[in-house]
Amino acid sequence: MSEAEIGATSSPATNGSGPPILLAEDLSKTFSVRGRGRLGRSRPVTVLDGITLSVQRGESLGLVGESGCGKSTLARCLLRLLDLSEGTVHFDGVDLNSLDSGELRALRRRLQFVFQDPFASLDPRMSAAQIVEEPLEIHGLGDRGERSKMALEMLDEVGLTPEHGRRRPHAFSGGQRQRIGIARAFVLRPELVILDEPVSALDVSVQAQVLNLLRRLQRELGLTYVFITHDLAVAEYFCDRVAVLYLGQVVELADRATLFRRPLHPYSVSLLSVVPTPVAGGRKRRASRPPLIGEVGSVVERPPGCPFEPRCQVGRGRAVCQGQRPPLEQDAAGHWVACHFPGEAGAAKAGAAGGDS
Amino acid sequence: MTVTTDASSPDPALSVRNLSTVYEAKAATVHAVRDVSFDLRPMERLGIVGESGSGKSALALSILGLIEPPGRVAGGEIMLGGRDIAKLSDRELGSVRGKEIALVLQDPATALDPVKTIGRQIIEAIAAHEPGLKRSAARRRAAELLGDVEISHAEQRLDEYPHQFSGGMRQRVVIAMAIALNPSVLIADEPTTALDVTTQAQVLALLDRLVDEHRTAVILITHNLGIVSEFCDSVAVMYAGRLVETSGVDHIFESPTHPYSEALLACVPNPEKLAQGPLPAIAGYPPDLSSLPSGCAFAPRCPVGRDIPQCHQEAPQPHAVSGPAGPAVVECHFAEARIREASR
Amino acid sequence: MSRVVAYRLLGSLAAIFGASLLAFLIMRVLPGDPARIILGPLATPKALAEVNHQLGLDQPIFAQYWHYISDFFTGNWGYSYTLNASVSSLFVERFPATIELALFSFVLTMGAAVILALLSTYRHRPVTDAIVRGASYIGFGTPPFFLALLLLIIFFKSLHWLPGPEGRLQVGASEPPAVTHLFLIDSLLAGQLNTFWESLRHMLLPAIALGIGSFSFMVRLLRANLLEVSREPFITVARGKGLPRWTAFRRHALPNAFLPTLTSAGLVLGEFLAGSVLIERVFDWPGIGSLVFEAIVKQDFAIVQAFILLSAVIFVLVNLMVDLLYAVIDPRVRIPAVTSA
Repeated sequence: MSEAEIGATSSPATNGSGPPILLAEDLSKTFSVRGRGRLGRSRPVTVLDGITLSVQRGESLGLVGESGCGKSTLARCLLRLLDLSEGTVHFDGVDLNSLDSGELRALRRRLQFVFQDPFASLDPRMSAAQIVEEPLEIHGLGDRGERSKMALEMLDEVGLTPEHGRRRPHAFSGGQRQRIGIARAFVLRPELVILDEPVSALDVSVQAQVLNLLRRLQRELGLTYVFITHDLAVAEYFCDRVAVLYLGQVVELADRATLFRRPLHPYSVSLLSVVPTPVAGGRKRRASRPPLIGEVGSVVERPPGCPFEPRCQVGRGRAVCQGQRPPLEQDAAGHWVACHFPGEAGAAKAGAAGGDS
Repeated sequence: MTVTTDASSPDPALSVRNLSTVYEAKAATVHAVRDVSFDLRPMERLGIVGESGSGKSALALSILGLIEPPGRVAGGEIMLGGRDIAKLSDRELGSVRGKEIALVLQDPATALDPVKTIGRQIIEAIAAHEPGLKRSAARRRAAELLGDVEISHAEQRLDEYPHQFSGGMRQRVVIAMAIALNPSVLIADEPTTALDVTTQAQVLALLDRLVDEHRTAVILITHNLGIVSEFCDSVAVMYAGRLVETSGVDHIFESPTHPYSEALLACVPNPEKLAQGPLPAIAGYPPDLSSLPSGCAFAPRCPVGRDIPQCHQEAPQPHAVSGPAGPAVVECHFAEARIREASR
Repeated sequence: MSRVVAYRLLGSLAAIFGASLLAFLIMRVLPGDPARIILGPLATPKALAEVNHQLGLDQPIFAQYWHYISDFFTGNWGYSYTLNASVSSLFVERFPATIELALFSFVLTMGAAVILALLSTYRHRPVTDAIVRGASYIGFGTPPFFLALLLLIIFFKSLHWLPGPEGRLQVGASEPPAVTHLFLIDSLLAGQLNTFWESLRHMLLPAIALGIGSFSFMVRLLRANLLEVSREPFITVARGKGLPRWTAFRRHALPNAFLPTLTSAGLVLGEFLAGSVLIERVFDWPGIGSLVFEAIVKQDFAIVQAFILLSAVIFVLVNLMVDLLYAVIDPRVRIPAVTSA
């Protein structure tokens, strides 16, 4: 059972110390998707396909990938905001599938979620303080006075004043709204927070403020994060370990330094190479790298073998890549990759770069 | 004021002087673009960088004469092809838009009319300027354009609708419409922001090829400094409706002179010089464009000028400086001092 | 495409079934014994039982329902004891008046709504916009029968511009030769311009009173859609191609703003076609509405029951047509999206 071992034994960033706080095993999610239009034929579409990963207490696990890779669906499945089609999710040893809705609600206090769009997730009729107070009320924590005190303290933690607390969401800027969203999730003192693109809608200067805030809260409250992003630079800055998703599968999983310095999966290699970096000489850099063919595929027409095969520099047209889905396997350094020819793309790229210079 | 980075250049393709745009609401007047001047040489690729609310999209729309009420261009000149297009009526501008100066917008999902075929929308771009054009000829041109932006089976795809195209393909269609009449200037407002990074790289490569083939000058508006580095020759940093630093592209990355440019660069998580610990965020928020401070708009957030009375009282004039990576025009009282420091 | 049609038809049948069940049950639980209403308070128990037998009211409830449904669809809608005629013949007689008023009012309502929505959104006209919005609120808040009386007082009583509540034509005037049973069309076919003019004048006030609520609703809906669509990037892109303002608006904003209002327009038409009891009553309009009004007053339940079911059928048919119309004209419904690049 090589896949089960991922959770059980290895977590390069934390050296496998202690049991994982969150463990997903062989998780799949299938939606019944209706065709376009009012009444198309519905058919099952597998959005997540056999995902196994673990999150260690105190770490930040990054989930990165492009649109359609299933990262947001995965986040919702991890919290059982969506029911799983197959597989299990254990939080602190408890199988989330085994819980009834009341038990799940009680557990949600320890498991919180921060959404991408700070505006859409805030009730426009409530004041900031009321928004932060509401989760306390739902979970029956404290009396009225205590709750309002806790909410104000939490707002202060995220850098908002009591005067801010009286305003409604529309009176805030994007960055401030995201602070409210964070305060709402963190006021319950959760153990694990899933952050779904928490800074993607923000300007870079505000993004930096919010990332710093999340870091500080993690340190002060001993939190564990699952951090979903499409921005690899943010993932590299923020996360301890990173999983790369493509069409609903984990194609590579390693600690930050290993993944970004020595990516093994051809998709990770391409993805990392196309991120534009704000340093001089970008045009030369861009001219020197090979273009990536095609666009992100679709889970509706998932290739039978490796999901990346149709776009892959290394495996395109190779029989084994077309025919067999590569399993997610670990190398000696604890670097997980699902590829029949791991490392070849990276080597090819390094060679090309060397020839250029 | 001239902020060209290359004084020996021939006649500019586009020359903007003292352009100002305001939005007049009941309660307040928002100064979205404040006295902006710049030149764009033929085939130059100018990146305009700014955060949301800095006025960069309003600048693009002002140049095209597409500011809708309650907004209006309050003053300035926009010289294109030897005349001031800011003085033209909307109808006269119609013959300029799309023909001499074209527009590509951010979100390909909403930049195309969902109930019209791709073909009709491309033909419309051609027919707006060539009313006598025959249907079959227009269709042939549209198919050629689709082929030009690397969409296969162009002839069949003309009859398809936007929702049958992926995001990257739609952006190619928008680009095809923009280059249909070989404009001398292309304004691209965040053309890749809504796309996945791998698709974004493809669209940039396509823009590269097209602007080279058509000899088009490009204004690329973006919040992403990485894209500026990868695509542009020159860059203008926009803050609170003004271009606070204008230079060649290397200057901004090697010795950013305006404190805002420097701070903006520093707070992007940058894998190539990744530091642990907190990101150097810019304190505070961008100013309210309806009630701007009297001095430098960046002063309240500025690590250099926050405590200096001059910065709060006196709006800085453009200073032409020459840094280690080329000349720049910087609107900061301390431009010269900061350049000397950087060169040391 | 055929699957779409099949699904929609199934859904429509289900909706009609539901409405029929409702109509059936309501009439069964309402107070008042039908037989006693027909025969009067002095009827003997034997006579009552006989009438109950004739009406099928002594049969099991399922059988009664089955008879009711099958009778409805075979055109046997029962017999009106107060008017001494078969219900279906009464409806056939009264329906043209309602249809004509409904169609006329619908055209008037939609036309006015489109024009005012355009006036208040095309270009930036805050004053016009405020006036249109204010008017639509007043229209929305005014009860139609009150407006009907107000219109009559102003245009008939005071100004004498338009005829009073006397139905489709002046009292005693002869109807145009029946072809479509719609006076406006029939009078034109027969070349009776005077009748056409009179019929138009008679229809104006009831049509306004009937349409005012829907008009206010449609103006606001259209206005909101137009504002939203005219802010869409594709409008800016179209302008960027060099299209004049109005061309870009007409080609790209109008279709996209009108498309989502089809459903509401369908509901409005359905509502008009089902007849307005109050408006027809006030203007003495000889349509379905006044027929039903009399039937309710006289507890003539066969007419009411047929009316409920007929309204349901009209609504369902109009909605079905709207959905099929979407499938024809909206490419996003007609053609499946791309599934992969």
